[in-house]
Amino acid sequence: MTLTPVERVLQTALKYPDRPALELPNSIYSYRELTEAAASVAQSIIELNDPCPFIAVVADKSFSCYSGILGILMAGKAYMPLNPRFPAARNLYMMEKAGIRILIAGENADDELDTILDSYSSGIYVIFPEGGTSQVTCEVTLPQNPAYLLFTSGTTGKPKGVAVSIRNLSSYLDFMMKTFDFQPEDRFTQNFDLTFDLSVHDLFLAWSSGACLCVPQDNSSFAMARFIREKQPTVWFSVPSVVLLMDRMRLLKPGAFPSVRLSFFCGEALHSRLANAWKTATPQSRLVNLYGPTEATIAITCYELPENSELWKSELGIISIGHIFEGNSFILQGATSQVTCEVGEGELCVGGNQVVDGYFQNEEADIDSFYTDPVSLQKWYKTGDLVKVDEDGDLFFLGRKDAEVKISGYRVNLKEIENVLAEYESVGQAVVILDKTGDDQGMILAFILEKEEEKAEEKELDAFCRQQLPWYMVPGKFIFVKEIPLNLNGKVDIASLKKIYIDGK
Amino acid sequence: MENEIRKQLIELLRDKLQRLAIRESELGDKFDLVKSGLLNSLEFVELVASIEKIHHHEIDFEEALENGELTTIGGLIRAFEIKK
Repeated sequence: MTLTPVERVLQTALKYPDRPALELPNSIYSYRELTEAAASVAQSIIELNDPCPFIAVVADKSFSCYSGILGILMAGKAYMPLNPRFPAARNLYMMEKAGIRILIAGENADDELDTILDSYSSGIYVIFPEGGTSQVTCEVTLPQNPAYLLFTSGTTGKPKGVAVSIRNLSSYLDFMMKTFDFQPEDRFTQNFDLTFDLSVHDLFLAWSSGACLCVPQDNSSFAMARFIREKQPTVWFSVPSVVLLMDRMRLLKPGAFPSVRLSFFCGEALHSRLANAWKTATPQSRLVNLYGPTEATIAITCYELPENSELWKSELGIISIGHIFEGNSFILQGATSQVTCEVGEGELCVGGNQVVDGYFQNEEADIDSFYTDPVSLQKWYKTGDLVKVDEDGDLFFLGRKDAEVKISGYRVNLKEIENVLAEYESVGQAVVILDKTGDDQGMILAFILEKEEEKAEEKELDAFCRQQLPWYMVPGKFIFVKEIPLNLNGKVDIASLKKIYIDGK
Repeated sequence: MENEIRKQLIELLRDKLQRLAIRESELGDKFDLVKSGLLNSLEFVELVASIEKIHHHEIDFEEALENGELTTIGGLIRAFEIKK
Protein backbone atom coordinates (compact mmCIF):
# COMPACT_ATOMS: atom_id res chain seq x y z
CA MET A 1 0.00 0.00 0.00
CA THR A 2 1.28 3.45 -0.88
CA LEU A 3 2.08 5.59 2.13
CA THR A 4 0.71 9.12 2.32
CA PRO A 5 3.32 11.90 2.22
CA VAL A 6 3.12 12.48 5.96
CA GLU A 7 3.26 8.73 6.71
CA ARG A 8 6.54 8.63 4.78
CA VAL A 9 7.92 11.37 7.00
CA LEU A 10 6.80 9.61 10.18
CA GLN A 11 8.33 6.35 8.98
CA THR A 12 11.61 8.16 8.31
CA ALA A 13 11.46 9.73 11.75
CA LEU A 14 11.12 6.29 13.35
CA LYS A 15 14.14 5.09 11.40
CA TYR A 16 16.36 8.14 11.94
CA PRO A 17 14.96 9.95 15.01
CA ASP A 18 18.19 11.75 15.82
CA ARG A 19 19.29 12.69 12.33
CA PRO A 20 18.91 16.37 11.39
CA ALA A 21 15.64 17.00 9.54
CA LEU A 22 15.67 20.77 9.32
CA GLU A 23 18.54 23.22 9.39
CA LEU A 24 17.44 26.80 9.86
CA PRO A 25 20.04 29.60 9.78
CA ASN A 26 20.65 29.43 13.54
CA SER A 27 19.28 26.09 14.64
CA ILE A 28 19.07 22.43 13.71
CA TYR A 29 16.10 20.17 14.49
CA SER A 30 16.10 16.37 14.49
CA TYR A 31 13.37 14.20 13.04
CA ARG A 32 12.20 13.49 16.58
CA GLU A 33 11.91 17.19 17.41
CA LEU A 34 10.17 18.00 14.14
CA THR A 35 7.57 15.23 14.32
CA GLU A 36 6.87 15.70 18.03
CA ALA A 37 6.23 19.41 17.48
CA ALA A 38 4.04 18.53 14.49
CA ALA A 39 2.09 16.02 16.59
CA SER A 40 1.35 18.74 19.10
CA VAL A 41 -0.03 20.96 16.31
CA ALA A 42 -2.09 18.03 15.02
CA GLN A 43 -3.59 17.47 18.47
CA SER A 44 -4.61 21.14 18.72
CA ILE A 45 -6.24 20.97 15.30
CA ILE A 46 -8.13 17.77 16.07
CA GLU A 47 -9.41 19.23 19.35
CA LEU A 48 -10.92 22.20 17.47
CA ASN A 49 -12.97 19.77 15.36
CA ASP A 50 -13.44 22.28 12.54
CA PRO A 51 -15.00 20.89 9.33
CA CYS A 52 -12.98 23.02 6.87
CA PRO A 53 -10.48 20.74 5.07
CA PHE A 54 -7.90 23.55 4.76
CA ILE A 55 -5.76 25.15 7.41
CA ALA A 56 -3.71 28.25 6.72
CA VAL A 57 -0.10 28.58 7.83
CA VAL A 58 1.99 31.74 7.85
CA ALA A 59 4.78 30.57 5.56
CA ASP A 60 7.69 32.39 7.14
CA LYS A 61 10.07 29.40 7.03
CA SER A 62 10.28 29.20 10.81
CA PHE A 63 10.31 25.95 12.79
CA SER A 64 6.66 26.65 13.68
CA CYS A 65 5.82 26.92 10.01
CA TYR A 66 7.48 23.61 9.00
CA SER A 67 6.16 21.70 12.01
CA GLY A 68 2.79 23.37 11.36
CA ILE A 69 2.66 22.01 7.80
CA LEU A 70 3.43 18.50 9.00
CA GLY A 71 0.95 18.85 11.88
CA ILE A 72 -1.81 19.92 9.51
CA LEU A 73 -1.23 16.83 7.38
CA MET A 74 -1.02 14.59 10.46
CA ALA A 75 -4.44 15.92 11.48
CA GLY A 76 -5.81 14.76 8.13
CA LYS A 77 -6.14 18.32 6.79
CA ALA A 78 -4.55 20.19 3.88
CA TYR A 79 -2.26 23.19 4.31
CA MET A 80 -2.65 26.54 2.61
CA PRO A 81 0.46 28.72 2.91
CA LEU A 82 0.15 32.49 3.29
CA ASN A 83 3.11 34.40 1.96
CA PRO A 84 4.28 37.17 4.33
CA ARG A 85 5.68 38.97 1.26
CA PHE A 86 2.31 39.02 -0.52
CA PRO A 87 0.01 42.03 -0.14
CA ALA A 88 -2.46 41.47 2.70
CA ALA A 89 -5.34 41.72 0.21
CA ARG A 90 -4.08 38.67 -1.67
CA ASN A 91 -3.57 36.56 1.46
CA LEU A 92 -7.03 37.56 2.67
CA TYR A 93 -8.60 36.67 -0.68
CA MET A 94 -7.05 33.18 -0.49
CA MET A 95 -8.31 32.71 3.08
CA GLU A 96 -11.83 33.85 2.26
CA LYS A 97 -11.94 31.64 -0.81
CA ALA A 98 -10.83 28.55 1.15
CA GLY A 99 -13.14 29.35 4.10
CA ILE A 100 -10.24 29.16 6.53
CA ARG A 101 -11.16 28.88 10.23
CA ILE A 102 -7.80 27.81 11.65
CA LEU A 103 -4.45 29.52 11.16
CA ILE A 104 -0.99 28.36 12.31
CA ALA A 105 1.38 31.21 13.05
CA GLY A 106 4.99 31.23 14.15
CA GLU A 107 6.66 33.41 16.73
CA ASN A 108 7.66 36.05 14.17
CA ALA A 109 4.32 36.42 12.41
CA ASP A 110 2.97 39.35 14.43
CA ASP A 111 2.63 41.89 11.62
CA GLU A 112 0.91 39.51 9.19
CA LEU A 113 -1.36 38.25 11.93
CA ASP A 114 -2.52 41.70 12.96
CA THR A 115 -3.50 42.60 9.42
CA ILE A 116 -5.25 39.29 8.84
CA LEU A 117 -7.13 39.23 12.14
CA ASP A 118 -8.25 42.84 11.68
CA SER A 119 -9.64 42.32 8.20
CA TYR A 120 -10.85 38.73 8.05
CA SER A 121 -14.61 38.44 7.77
CA SER A 122 -15.07 35.24 9.79
CA GLY A 123 -13.98 34.10 13.21
CA ILE A 124 -10.65 32.34 13.26
CA TYR A 125 -8.66 30.16 15.66
CA VAL A 126 -4.94 30.87 15.77
CA ILE A 127 -2.57 28.11 16.87
CA PHE A 128 0.90 29.14 18.02
CA PRO A 129 2.90 25.91 17.95
CA GLU A 130 4.90 25.38 21.12
CA GLY A 131 6.50 22.34 22.69
CA GLY A 132 5.94 18.83 21.46
CA THR A 133 4.30 15.58 22.37
CA SER A 134 5.70 12.10 22.17
CA GLN A 135 2.32 10.76 21.02
CA VAL A 136 3.05 10.94 17.33
CA THR A 137 0.09 9.57 15.41
CA CYS A 138 -1.60 10.31 12.15
CA GLU A 139 -5.28 10.68 11.27
CA VAL A 140 -6.57 8.44 8.49
CA THR A 141 -6.89 10.36 5.25
CA LEU A 142 -8.22 9.32 1.85
CA PRO A 143 -6.15 9.55 -1.37
CA GLN A 144 -8.64 11.97 -2.90
CA ASN A 145 -8.38 14.37 0.04
CA PRO A 146 -6.36 17.53 -0.55
CA ALA A 147 -2.77 17.77 0.69
CA TYR A 148 -2.24 21.45 -0.04
CA LEU A 149 -4.01 24.38 -1.64
CA LEU A 150 -2.05 26.92 -3.66
CA PHE A 151 -3.13 29.83 -5.81
CA THR A 152 -1.79 30.69 -9.25
CA SER A 153 -2.20 33.75 -11.41
CA GLY A 154 -5.51 33.86 -13.30
CA THR A 155 -6.94 35.86 -16.18
CA THR A 156 -9.77 37.48 -14.23
CA GLY A 157 -7.77 39.61 -11.83
CA LYS A 158 -8.08 37.03 -9.06
CA PRO A 159 -5.77 34.05 -8.47
CA LYS A 160 -7.04 30.51 -9.13
CA GLY A 161 -6.92 27.86 -6.40
CA VAL A 162 -5.33 24.49 -7.08
CA ALA A 163 -5.99 21.79 -4.49
CA VAL A 164 -3.47 18.99 -4.93
CA SER A 165 -4.61 15.66 -3.50
CA ILE A 166 -2.76 13.09 -1.43
CA ARG A 167 -2.90 10.78 -4.48
CA ASN A 168 -1.41 13.45 -6.78
CA LEU A 169 1.45 14.15 -4.39
CA SER A 170 2.12 10.48 -3.59
CA SER A 171 2.41 9.72 -7.27
CA TYR A 172 5.06 12.46 -7.69
CA LEU A 173 7.00 11.29 -4.65
CA ASP A 174 6.86 7.65 -5.80
CA PHE A 175 8.37 8.51 -9.16
CA MET A 176 11.09 10.76 -7.79
CA MET A 177 12.10 8.37 -5.01
CA LYS A 178 12.34 5.53 -7.50
CA THR A 179 14.26 7.54 -10.09
CA PHE A 180 16.82 9.37 -7.97
CA ASP A 181 18.96 7.85 -5.24
CA PHE A 182 18.29 10.27 -2.39
CA GLN A 183 20.24 9.33 0.73
CA PRO A 184 19.92 10.11 4.45
CA GLU A 185 23.26 11.93 4.16
CA ASP A 186 21.81 14.30 1.57
CA ARG A 187 21.28 17.96 2.29
CA PHE A 188 18.44 19.53 0.29
CA THR A 189 18.20 23.22 -0.47
CA GLN A 190 14.94 25.04 0.27
CA ASN A 191 15.15 28.05 -1.99
CA PHE A 192 11.47 28.47 -2.78
CA ASP A 193 8.76 30.36 -0.99
CA LEU A 194 6.27 27.89 0.45
CA THR A 195 3.54 29.39 -1.74
CA PHE A 196 5.49 28.07 -4.75
CA ASP A 197 4.72 24.37 -5.28
CA LEU A 198 8.35 23.52 -6.02
CA SER A 199 8.91 23.87 -2.26
CA VAL A 200 6.82 20.72 -1.78
CA HIS A 201 9.50 18.75 -3.65
CA ASP A 202 12.16 19.92 -1.18
CA LEU A 203 10.14 19.18 1.95
CA PHE A 204 8.77 15.76 1.15
CA LEU A 205 11.67 14.28 -0.79
CA ALA A 206 14.14 15.34 1.91
CA TRP A 207 11.93 14.04 4.70
CA SER A 208 11.08 10.81 2.88
CA SER A 209 14.80 10.07 2.56
CA GLY A 210 16.01 10.87 6.06
CA ALA A 211 17.88 13.84 4.59
CA CYS A 212 18.22 17.36 5.99
CA LEU A 213 16.35 20.36 4.60
CA CYS A 214 18.61 23.44 4.61
CA VAL A 215 16.86 26.80 4.66
CA PRO A 216 18.83 29.90 3.63
CA GLN A 217 18.84 32.89 5.95
CA ASP A 218 18.23 35.30 3.17
CA ASN A 219 15.87 34.34 0.39
CA SER A 220 17.63 36.72 -1.95
CA SER A 221 19.60 35.29 -4.82
CA PHE A 222 22.55 37.40 -3.66
CA ALA A 223 22.99 35.12 -0.67
CA MET A 224 22.94 31.85 -2.59
CA ALA A 225 26.66 31.39 -3.29
CA ARG A 226 27.55 31.96 0.34
CA PHE A 227 24.70 29.66 1.42
CA ILE A 228 26.09 26.84 -0.74
CA ARG A 229 29.62 27.32 0.53
CA GLU A 230 28.53 27.37 4.16
CA LYS A 231 25.79 24.74 4.20
CA GLN A 232 27.29 22.35 1.62
CA PRO A 233 24.01 21.13 0.10
CA THR A 234 24.14 17.97 -1.98
CA VAL A 235 20.74 18.34 -3.68
CA TRP A 236 20.09 21.69 -5.33
CA PHE A 237 16.73 22.87 -6.64
CA SER A 238 15.99 26.30 -8.08
CA VAL A 239 14.53 28.15 -10.99
CA PRO A 240 17.15 28.93 -13.68
CA SER A 241 16.92 32.68 -12.84
CA VAL A 242 18.79 32.11 -9.58
CA VAL A 243 21.67 30.56 -11.48
CA LEU A 244 21.49 33.29 -14.13
CA LEU A 245 22.03 35.89 -11.44
CA MET A 246 24.98 33.99 -9.98
CA ASP A 247 26.41 33.72 -13.49
CA ARG A 248 26.03 37.47 -14.07
CA MET A 249 27.88 38.05 -10.80
CA ARG A 250 30.72 35.80 -12.03
CA LEU A 251 30.18 33.43 -9.09
CA LEU A 252 30.02 30.22 -11.13
CA LYS A 253 33.75 29.59 -11.10
CA PRO A 254 35.07 26.14 -12.03
CA GLY A 255 34.48 23.73 -9.15
CA ALA A 256 33.01 26.49 -6.95
CA PHE A 257 30.36 24.23 -5.41
CA PRO A 258 31.76 20.69 -5.16
CA SER A 259 29.20 19.51 -2.57
CA VAL A 260 26.31 19.48 -5.06
CA ARG A 261 25.74 16.01 -6.53
CA LEU A 262 22.22 16.44 -7.92
CA SER A 263 20.78 19.65 -9.40
CA PHE A 264 17.14 20.11 -10.32
CA PHE A 265 15.78 23.01 -12.34
CA CYS A 266 12.14 23.83 -12.98
CA GLY A 267 9.78 26.75 -13.41
CA GLU A 268 11.40 28.36 -16.44
CA ALA A 269 13.08 27.42 -19.68
CA LEU A 270 16.62 26.19 -19.00
CA HIS A 271 19.09 27.56 -21.52
CA SER A 272 21.98 25.26 -22.43
CA ARG A 273 24.48 28.08 -21.90
CA LEU A 274 23.29 28.45 -18.32
CA ALA A 275 23.25 24.68 -17.71
CA ASN A 276 26.87 24.61 -18.90
CA ALA A 277 27.84 27.40 -16.53
CA TRP A 278 26.21 25.56 -13.61
CA LYS A 279 27.89 22.28 -14.57
CA THR A 280 31.25 24.07 -14.50
CA ALA A 281 30.59 25.25 -10.95
CA THR A 282 29.19 21.88 -9.80
CA PRO A 283 31.37 19.31 -11.61
CA GLN A 284 30.14 16.39 -9.44
CA SER A 285 26.51 17.12 -10.16
CA ARG A 286 23.94 15.35 -12.30
CA LEU A 287 21.68 17.96 -13.91
CA VAL A 288 17.94 17.36 -14.23
CA ASN A 289 15.51 19.64 -16.02
CA LEU A 290 11.94 19.30 -14.69
CA TYR A 291 8.74 20.66 -16.16
CA GLY A 292 5.26 20.91 -14.74
CA PRO A 293 2.44 23.28 -13.88
CA THR A 294 0.98 23.42 -10.36
CA GLU A 295 -2.10 21.62 -11.74
CA ALA A 296 0.10 18.59 -12.49
CA THR A 297 1.77 18.50 -9.04
CA ILE A 298 5.23 20.06 -8.99
CA ALA A 299 6.66 18.46 -12.16
CA ILE A 300 5.41 15.88 -14.61
CA THR A 301 8.26 15.52 -17.10
CA CYS A 302 12.00 15.34 -16.67
CA TYR A 303 15.17 15.26 -18.71
CA GLU A 304 18.47 14.26 -17.20
CA LEU A 305 21.29 15.98 -19.05
CA PRO A 306 23.97 13.49 -20.18
CA GLU A 307 27.43 13.93 -18.67
CA ASN A 308 28.77 14.92 -22.08
CA SER A 309 27.31 18.34 -22.87
CA GLU A 310 27.58 17.68 -26.60
CA LEU A 311 24.80 15.13 -26.20
CA TRP A 312 22.40 17.55 -24.51
CA LYS A 313 19.12 17.80 -26.36
CA SER A 314 17.91 21.33 -26.95
CA GLU A 315 15.74 23.40 -29.26
CA LEU A 316 16.84 26.98 -29.99
CA GLY A 317 19.23 26.76 -27.05
CA ILE A 318 16.56 25.61 -24.59
CA ILE A 319 17.13 22.24 -22.93
CA SER A 320 14.55 19.51 -23.50
CA ILE A 321 11.95 18.87 -20.80
CA GLY A 322 12.21 15.14 -21.52
CA HIS A 323 9.70 12.39 -20.91
CA ILE A 324 6.46 12.33 -18.97
CA PHE A 325 6.48 10.60 -15.57
CA GLU A 326 5.15 7.08 -15.11
CA GLY A 327 1.44 6.98 -14.25
CA ASN A 328 0.73 10.00 -16.46
CA SER A 329 0.34 10.57 -20.17
CA PHE A 330 0.07 13.40 -22.65
CA ILE A 331 -1.46 14.38 -25.95
CA LEU A 332 -0.86 17.35 -28.20
CA GLN A 333 -3.69 19.55 -29.23
CA GLY A 334 -3.25 21.14 -32.64
CA ALA A 335 -4.24 24.61 -33.78
CA THR A 336 -7.35 23.22 -35.46
CA SER A 337 -8.54 21.86 -32.12
CA GLN A 338 -8.12 18.30 -33.34
CA VAL A 339 -6.43 16.15 -30.82
CA THR A 340 -3.41 14.35 -32.15
CA CYS A 341 -1.34 11.74 -30.41
CA GLU A 342 2.26 12.12 -29.33
CA VAL A 343 3.71 13.49 -32.57
CA GLY A 344 4.81 16.83 -33.90
CA GLU A 345 3.94 20.14 -32.27
CA GLY A 346 0.96 21.46 -30.35
CA GLU A 347 -0.43 22.43 -26.97
CA LEU A 348 0.65 19.99 -24.29
CA CYS A 349 -2.27 18.34 -22.49
CA VAL A 350 -1.47 16.10 -19.54
CA GLY A 351 -3.53 13.54 -17.66
CA GLY A 352 -3.04 10.85 -15.04
CA ASN A 353 -2.23 10.34 -11.37
CA GLN A 354 -0.60 13.71 -10.82
CA VAL A 355 -3.16 15.90 -12.54
CA VAL A 356 -5.80 17.58 -10.36
CA ASP A 357 -9.49 17.15 -11.19
CA GLY A 358 -10.07 20.86 -11.64
CA TYR A 359 -9.59 24.25 -10.04
CA PHE A 360 -10.82 24.94 -6.55
CA GLN A 361 -14.40 26.21 -6.81
CA ASN A 362 -13.87 27.74 -10.23
CA GLU A 363 -15.99 26.08 -12.91
CA GLU A 364 -15.34 28.83 -15.44
CA ALA A 365 -11.60 28.20 -15.31
CA ASP A 366 -12.24 24.42 -15.44
CA ILE A 367 -14.09 24.80 -18.73
CA ASP A 368 -11.17 26.73 -20.19
CA SER A 369 -8.41 24.45 -18.96
CA PHE A 370 -9.75 20.91 -18.52
CA TYR A 371 -11.07 18.57 -21.17
CA THR A 372 -12.62 15.11 -20.80
CA ASP A 373 -12.29 12.76 -23.74
CA PRO A 374 -15.84 11.62 -24.53
CA VAL A 375 -14.73 8.13 -25.51
CA SER A 376 -12.03 7.19 -23.03
CA LEU A 377 -13.36 9.53 -20.29
CA GLN A 378 -9.74 10.48 -19.65
CA LYS A 379 -9.43 13.96 -18.21
CA TRP A 380 -6.75 16.24 -19.68
CA TYR A 381 -5.34 19.46 -18.34
CA LYS A 382 -4.55 21.89 -21.15
CA THR A 383 -1.28 23.44 -20.02
CA GLY A 384 -1.25 26.33 -22.51
CA ASP A 385 2.37 25.39 -23.23
CA LEU A 386 3.33 24.76 -26.83
CA VAL A 387 5.74 21.87 -27.20
CA LYS A 388 7.20 19.59 -29.81
CA VAL A 389 8.03 15.91 -29.49
CA ASP A 390 11.03 14.35 -31.21
CA GLU A 391 11.41 10.84 -32.53
CA ASP A 392 12.65 9.60 -29.11
CA GLY A 393 9.55 10.96 -27.40
CA ASP A 394 11.46 13.81 -25.74
CA LEU A 395 9.45 17.00 -25.27
CA PHE A 396 10.72 20.51 -26.05
CA PHE A 397 9.13 23.70 -24.72
CA LEU A 398 8.44 26.19 -27.54
CA GLY A 399 6.42 28.94 -25.84
CA ARG A 400 2.98 29.88 -24.55
CA LYS A 401 -0.29 30.08 -26.44
CA ASP A 402 -1.77 32.73 -24.12
CA ALA A 403 -0.81 35.75 -22.03
CA GLU A 404 0.95 33.75 -19.35
CA VAL A 405 4.64 34.44 -18.72
CA LYS A 406 7.19 33.38 -16.14
CA ILE A 407 8.94 35.83 -13.85
CA SER A 408 11.63 34.17 -11.71
CA GLY A 409 9.68 30.94 -12.14
CA TYR A 410 6.39 32.43 -10.95
CA ARG A 411 3.44 32.09 -13.30
CA VAL A 412 2.12 35.49 -14.22
CA ASN A 413 -0.96 35.96 -16.32
CA LEU A 414 -0.61 39.41 -17.88
CA LYS A 415 -4.41 39.65 -18.09
CA GLU A 416 -4.57 39.54 -14.29
CA ILE A 417 -2.35 42.64 -14.13
CA GLU A 418 -4.46 44.36 -16.81
CA ASN A 419 -7.61 43.64 -14.82
CA VAL A 420 -6.11 45.01 -11.63
CA LEU A 421 -4.98 48.19 -13.43
CA ALA A 422 -8.41 48.59 -15.00
CA GLU A 423 -9.84 48.88 -11.49
CA TYR A 424 -7.86 52.07 -10.94
CA GLU A 425 -10.23 55.00 -11.34
CA SER A 426 -8.35 57.06 -13.92
CA VAL A 427 -7.31 54.09 -16.11
CA GLY A 428 -9.40 53.73 -19.25
CA GLN A 429 -7.53 50.74 -20.66
CA ALA A 430 -4.36 48.91 -19.74
CA VAL A 431 -2.30 46.58 -21.91
CA VAL A 432 0.46 44.64 -20.23
CA ILE A 433 3.30 42.90 -22.04
CA LEU A 434 6.61 41.30 -21.14
CA ASP A 435 9.67 42.88 -22.73
CA LYS A 436 12.11 40.01 -22.87
CA THR A 437 15.21 39.12 -24.81
CA GLY A 438 17.43 36.01 -24.55
CA ASP A 439 17.67 34.33 -21.16
CA ASP A 440 16.81 37.53 -19.26
CA GLN A 441 13.71 37.35 -17.10
CA GLY A 442 12.46 40.50 -18.82
CA MET A 443 10.45 43.48 -17.61
CA ILE A 444 6.69 43.85 -17.33
CA LEU A 445 5.53 46.94 -19.23
CA ALA A 446 2.10 48.45 -18.63
CA PHE A 447 0.70 50.72 -21.36
CA ILE A 448 -1.93 52.99 -19.88
CA LEU A 449 -4.67 54.84 -21.72
CA GLU A 450 -6.14 57.33 -19.28
CA LYS A 451 -9.83 58.16 -19.07
CA GLU A 452 -10.78 61.50 -20.57
CA GLU A 453 -9.92 64.43 -18.34
CA GLU A 454 -8.44 62.15 -15.74
CA LYS A 455 -4.77 61.81 -14.93
CA ALA A 456 -2.98 58.79 -13.52
CA GLU A 457 0.36 59.22 -11.80
CA GLU A 458 3.02 56.57 -12.23
CA LYS A 459 3.80 56.55 -8.53
CA GLU A 460 0.14 56.02 -7.61
CA LEU A 461 -0.30 53.23 -10.12
CA ASP A 462 2.82 51.55 -8.77
CA ALA A 463 1.51 51.81 -5.21
CA PHE A 464 -1.92 50.55 -6.26
CA CYS A 465 -0.37 47.49 -7.91
CA ARG A 466 1.77 46.79 -4.85
CA GLN A 467 -1.39 46.69 -2.71
CA GLN A 468 -3.04 44.15 -4.99
CA LEU A 469 -0.31 42.05 -6.57
CA PRO A 470 2.77 40.12 -5.43
CA TRP A 471 6.05 41.96 -6.01
CA TYR A 472 6.93 39.90 -9.09
CA MET A 473 3.73 41.00 -10.86
CA VAL A 474 4.18 44.75 -10.39
CA PRO A 475 5.04 46.35 -13.77
CA GLY A 476 8.59 47.65 -14.05
CA LYS A 477 7.40 50.56 -16.16
CA PHE A 478 4.15 52.40 -16.83
CA ILE A 479 3.92 54.03 -20.24
CA PHE A 480 1.13 56.48 -20.92
CA VAL A 481 -0.23 56.39 -24.45
CA LYS A 482 -2.77 58.50 -26.33
CA GLU A 483 -4.27 55.43 -27.96
CA ILE A 484 -3.86 51.67 -27.91
CA PRO A 485 -2.70 50.68 -31.43
CA LEU A 486 -4.64 47.88 -33.11
CA ASN A 487 -3.56 45.60 -35.97
CA LEU A 488 -5.62 44.78 -39.06
CA ASN A 489 -7.51 42.09 -37.16
CA GLY A 490 -8.56 44.61 -34.55
CA LYS A 491 -6.27 43.07 -31.92
CA VAL A 492 -3.83 45.04 -29.79
CA ASP A 493 -0.70 45.62 -31.85
CA ILE A 494 2.04 44.45 -29.49
CA ALA A 495 4.84 45.28 -31.95
CA SER A 496 3.70 48.91 -32.14
CA LEU A 497 3.52 49.13 -28.36
CA LYS A 498 7.07 47.79 -28.06
CA LYS A 499 8.17 50.40 -30.59
CA ILE A 500 6.55 53.15 -28.49
CA TYR A 501 8.54 51.88 -25.51
CA ILE A 502 11.83 51.64 -27.40
CA ASP A 503 11.38 55.08 -29.01
CA GLY A 504 10.63 56.63 -25.65
CA LYS A 505 13.72 55.16 -23.93
CA MET B 1 35.64 58.60 -6.13
CA GLU B 2 32.70 58.21 -3.72
CA ASN B 3 30.92 61.29 -5.01
CA GLU B 4 31.65 60.30 -8.57
CA ILE B 5 30.03 56.88 -8.19
CA ARG B 6 27.10 58.34 -6.25
CA LYS B 7 26.47 60.81 -9.09
CA GLN B 8 26.68 58.04 -11.68
CA LEU B 9 24.28 55.90 -9.67
CA ILE B 10 21.74 58.69 -9.44
CA GLU B 11 22.04 59.39 -13.13
CA LEU B 12 21.50 55.75 -14.04
CA LEU B 13 18.54 55.51 -11.68
CA ARG B 14 16.98 58.87 -12.57
CA ASP B 15 14.06 57.39 -14.44
CA LYS B 16 13.18 54.94 -11.67
CA LEU B 17 13.59 57.54 -8.95
CA GLN B 18 11.23 59.91 -10.71
CA ARG B 19 8.71 57.17 -11.15
CA LEU B 20 8.64 56.31 -7.46
CA ALA B 21 8.99 59.97 -6.46
CA ILE B 22 12.15 59.27 -4.47
CA ARG B 23 14.23 62.38 -3.87
CA GLU B 24 18.01 62.31 -4.23
CA SER B 25 18.31 63.43 -0.62
CA GLU B 26 16.72 60.13 0.46
CA LEU B 27 19.52 58.13 -1.11
CA GLY B 28 21.78 57.88 1.91
CA ASP B 29 24.42 55.19 2.34
CA LYS B 30 21.92 52.84 4.00
CA PHE B 31 19.33 53.09 1.23
CA ASP B 32 18.86 49.53 -0.09
CA LEU B 33 18.27 49.55 -3.81
CA VAL B 34 16.71 46.07 -3.86
CA LYS B 35 14.88 45.85 -0.52
CA SER B 36 13.30 49.25 -1.20
CA GLY B 37 11.69 47.76 -4.31
CA LEU B 38 13.49 50.24 -6.56
CA LEU B 39 15.31 47.46 -8.45
CA ASN B 40 14.93 43.73 -8.74
CA SER B 41 17.99 41.49 -8.37
CA LEU B 42 18.76 41.32 -12.06
CA GLU B 43 18.31 45.08 -12.52
CA PHE B 44 20.75 45.62 -9.66
CA VAL B 45 23.37 43.43 -11.32
CA GLU B 46 22.79 45.32 -14.57
CA LEU B 47 23.29 48.60 -12.71
CA VAL B 48 26.61 47.30 -11.39
CA ALA B 49 27.57 46.27 -14.93
CA SER B 50 26.81 49.81 -16.18
CA ILE B 51 29.07 51.36 -13.55
CA GLU B 52 31.76 48.76 -14.30
CA LYS B 53 31.59 49.78 -17.93
CA ILE B 54 32.09 53.45 -17.08
CA HIS B 55 35.12 52.63 -14.90
CA HIS B 56 36.49 49.91 -17.19
CA HIS B 57 36.85 47.35 -14.46
CA GLU B 58 34.88 44.66 -12.69
CA ILE B 59 34.14 44.41 -8.99
CA ASP B 60 34.67 41.18 -7.08
CA PHE B 61 31.10 40.18 -6.29
CA GLU B 62 32.20 37.36 -4.03
CA GLU B 63 34.22 39.68 -1.84
CA ALA B 64 31.60 42.43 -2.00
CA LEU B 65 28.85 40.02 -0.92
CA GLU B 66 31.01 38.73 1.94
CA ASN B 67 31.47 42.31 3.14
CA GLY B 68 27.69 42.58 3.24
CA GLU B 69 25.16 45.21 2.26
CA LEU B 70 26.24 45.26 -1.36
CA THR B 71 22.77 46.32 -2.42
CA THR B 72 22.90 49.51 -0.35
CA ILE B 73 24.26 52.71 -1.85
CA GLY B 74 27.11 52.73 0.67
CA GLY B 75 27.89 49.03 0.09
CA LEU B 76 27.98 49.48 -3.65
CA ILE B 77 30.26 52.51 -3.45
CA ARG B 78 32.59 50.56 -1.11
CA ALA B 79 32.74 47.67 -3.58
CA PHE B 80 34.06 50.03 -6.25
CA GLU B 81 36.45 51.76 -3.88
CA ILE B 82 38.03 48.45 -2.88
CA LYS B 83 38.58 47.59 -6.51
CA LYS B 84 40.23 50.92 -7.14
